[in-house]
Amino acid sequence: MTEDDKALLADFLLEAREIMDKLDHDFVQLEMSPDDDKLLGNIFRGMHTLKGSSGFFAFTRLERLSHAGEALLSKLRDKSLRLTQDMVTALLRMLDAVRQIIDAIQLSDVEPTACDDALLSDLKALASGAPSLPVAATSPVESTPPSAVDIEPLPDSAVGTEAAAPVKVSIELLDTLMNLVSEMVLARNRLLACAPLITDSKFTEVVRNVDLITLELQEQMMATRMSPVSQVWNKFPRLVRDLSQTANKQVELRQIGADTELDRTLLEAIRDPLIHIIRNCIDHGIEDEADRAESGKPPMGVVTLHAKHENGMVVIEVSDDGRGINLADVRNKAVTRGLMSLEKANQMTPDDLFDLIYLPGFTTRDVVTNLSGRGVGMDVVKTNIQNIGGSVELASTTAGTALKLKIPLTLAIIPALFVRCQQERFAIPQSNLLEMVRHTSGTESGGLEYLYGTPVFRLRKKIIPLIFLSEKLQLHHCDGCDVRDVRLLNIAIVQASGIRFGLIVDEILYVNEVVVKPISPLLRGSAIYGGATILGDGRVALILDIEGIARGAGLSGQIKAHQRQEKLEHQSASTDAAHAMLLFDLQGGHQLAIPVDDVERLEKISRTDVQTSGSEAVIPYGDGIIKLIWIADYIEGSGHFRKQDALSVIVHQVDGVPVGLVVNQIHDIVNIPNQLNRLSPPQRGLLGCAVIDNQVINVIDVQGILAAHHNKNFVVVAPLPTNMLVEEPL
Amino acid sequence: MNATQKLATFYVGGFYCGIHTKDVVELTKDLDVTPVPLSPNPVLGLLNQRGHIVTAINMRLRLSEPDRTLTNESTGIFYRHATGLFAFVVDRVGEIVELSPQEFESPPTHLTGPSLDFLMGVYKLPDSLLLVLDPQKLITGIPAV
Repeated sequence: MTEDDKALLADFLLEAREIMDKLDHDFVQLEMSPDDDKLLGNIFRGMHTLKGSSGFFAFTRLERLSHAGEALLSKLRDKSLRLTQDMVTALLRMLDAVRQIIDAIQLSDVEPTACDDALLSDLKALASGAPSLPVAATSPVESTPPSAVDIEPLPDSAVGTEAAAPVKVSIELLDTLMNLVSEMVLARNRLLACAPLITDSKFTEVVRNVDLITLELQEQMMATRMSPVSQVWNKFPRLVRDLSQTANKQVELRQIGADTELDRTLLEAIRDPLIHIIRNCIDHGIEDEADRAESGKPPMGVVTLHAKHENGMVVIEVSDDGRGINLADVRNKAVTRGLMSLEKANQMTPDDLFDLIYLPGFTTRDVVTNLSGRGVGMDVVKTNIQNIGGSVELASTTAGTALKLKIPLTLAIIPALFVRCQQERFAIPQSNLLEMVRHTSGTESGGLEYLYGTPVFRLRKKIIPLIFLSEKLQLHHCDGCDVRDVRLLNIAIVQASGIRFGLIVDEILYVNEVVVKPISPLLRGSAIYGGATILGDGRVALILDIEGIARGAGLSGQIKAHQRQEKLEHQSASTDAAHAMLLFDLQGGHQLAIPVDDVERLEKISRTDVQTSGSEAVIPYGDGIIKLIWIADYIEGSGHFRKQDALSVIVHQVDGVPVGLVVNQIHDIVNIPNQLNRLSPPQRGLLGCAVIDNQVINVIDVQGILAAHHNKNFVVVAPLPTNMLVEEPL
Repeated sequence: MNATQKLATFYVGGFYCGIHTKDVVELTKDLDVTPVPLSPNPVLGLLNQRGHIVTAINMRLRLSEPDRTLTNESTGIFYRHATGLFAFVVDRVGEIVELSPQEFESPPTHLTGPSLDFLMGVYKLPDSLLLVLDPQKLITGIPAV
């Protein structure tokens, strides 16, 4: 028996039970009011449905019994017979027999074998107008123990099976129950907090009991919120059929793990993203028949939905065996849409290019079809999934594309990290939390730095913007002291919408499960709180909306834009009025600047890490090395800076290879007009200068410096002038 | 409309106010309010009423009276709004009064202004004026941040 058949059978059994329960009642009712035509009609219809369904499943006993019952009822309905007590008894006996068969089917999926001849002939006799049943036929029913046994255990079995049958419950009631259970959990937490104060062993035992029962209650209650993903998926075969016909392609939909369960509310949230993705698969992914034949694929394309549980998350993978995402197309589109220069586009890794498809309005399609191509799809998919605390991963080859949606099991109860900020506790959803860092400033790696006007922190060579929660929330801090002046930083590294940042809090407290409760729209305006929860002590604590905070702090604008968008920006000199440049100096307070676009990241290294590789000074970096260039050597008029133990390095990429430019000190980011003042005569290593706040800022010529360095090391044409002695990095 | 009106009365700063008793869910003292940073000005914070998150409104600020900290007489008057439960935090509660509509007077027209949107009218009592407030408008009138 297939899964589908099983589901159908379960539906049948449920329906049969409903009919039988109703018939039980109706037959008795009918006996009291035999002339109630409406009631008789209801009974007849119920009996007829039962017969029809039994025939469908080839349950012959059921069919014959219900047929005999129906035959008798039809005589009653067209008034050719009048209801007698014998008839009611026979009908009830038939119903009992049916019930027993249904019970047996429920257990074993097959109809039990037994002889119903006596009952059938009784029903037939009554239907053919026999005034009363022959004594021989009635006697076993009325007097012999076996039939008594048949009837006696009925209440038991009936009770047992009724409990097993699913019940329809309104969603509101479930939600109310869920709420109550949440309250119970919180009340339990408060009880547990009080328990140690009372040493009575009996009391302790009761508390333990309450604790365990509450836990079980919570688990079972959560189970009621879960529904299989098939509830959303079962609409998809039709969708795929319609879409593939429109696209004139042959597509088969495969579903794996359709019984994977997920919170009802989340199911709703993934419906639209899945539809978008499937559309993409069929319209973009799967090739038409000719192309498929060319690449040796079967004519029938396959879209596979695969759901499974993984690490407390539900993973839904949508894959197709189509042509995959054409990176060249993405690259071309990015260039023609003016998102970036061709040069930049060519430097981008496949992963970076894949990221582009999530940009609003991005499509590789030239023609908008009614299926897709408007460029809204993937953007929406990502946003929707992220809104429910999930993530999207993409893998694509010429053998197909696979999108992995990772979705939390439920949103109602989430684990959260509690932090203290001033006097208040706040919760950070664990799904946003990456790690926690306790940083003592004054150590070598330096504490806060400023980049793009945002405080940043270096975490394993990555620059992470920081937000002071107390500043963000405008909470009053201790009299006059500068929060930024603390020596100890508690940083919660969080992530939302791909933006990673550090939230500086006063204290990191503990992780606890919280029940998320909505807050009034009045408080949602600030987009800082995702909801509220009630703590063990009965107080309300606010749950932070990490994404909202990131957005509110302009991080998405400042950092993300600089990390991604600005790279994409078309670098045409005339359009941009100003250019962001990183300010630094060499010895002597000369202010120099390098375009931010040329800066991959900033490093501070120890002089003792510097080694030599051939004629180059290098530092080990990850698995590779970074070549170091003391740019003071290539810039006219700049002196050598004193030997420091720590070197500031601006990492620049040349064809994907990092090069470290050693400078004296890195300061800030400034906007420098594109129109630079030419230097006359041209100075070696400098492009030109700009005046900002009465200060002359020279913009360095990165290409020139690199070329000069290259020449020096590889094409040594002349001995170095004496004033250009390379500072030995030792 | 001749039936008498039942009003739950309370004091906020220099005002003697009332709202219709049918609008009042319950009254609670000893409010443990969690402040909500960056919330609109009259929002005092959130409190927990048997598992429900209640938004507490500082009635002193709502009625543009000078603010002060809660006292042990401060009381939350709970009101169920379409967007959730609210508590109007007042200085202290008075009696429940039954008043006849004859004493009622609509707000003077020259007093209309955004700050008085929530004023339904005034009962002229022998020794004072009782301001009848519209709880619905007390909430909807709060500007979002």
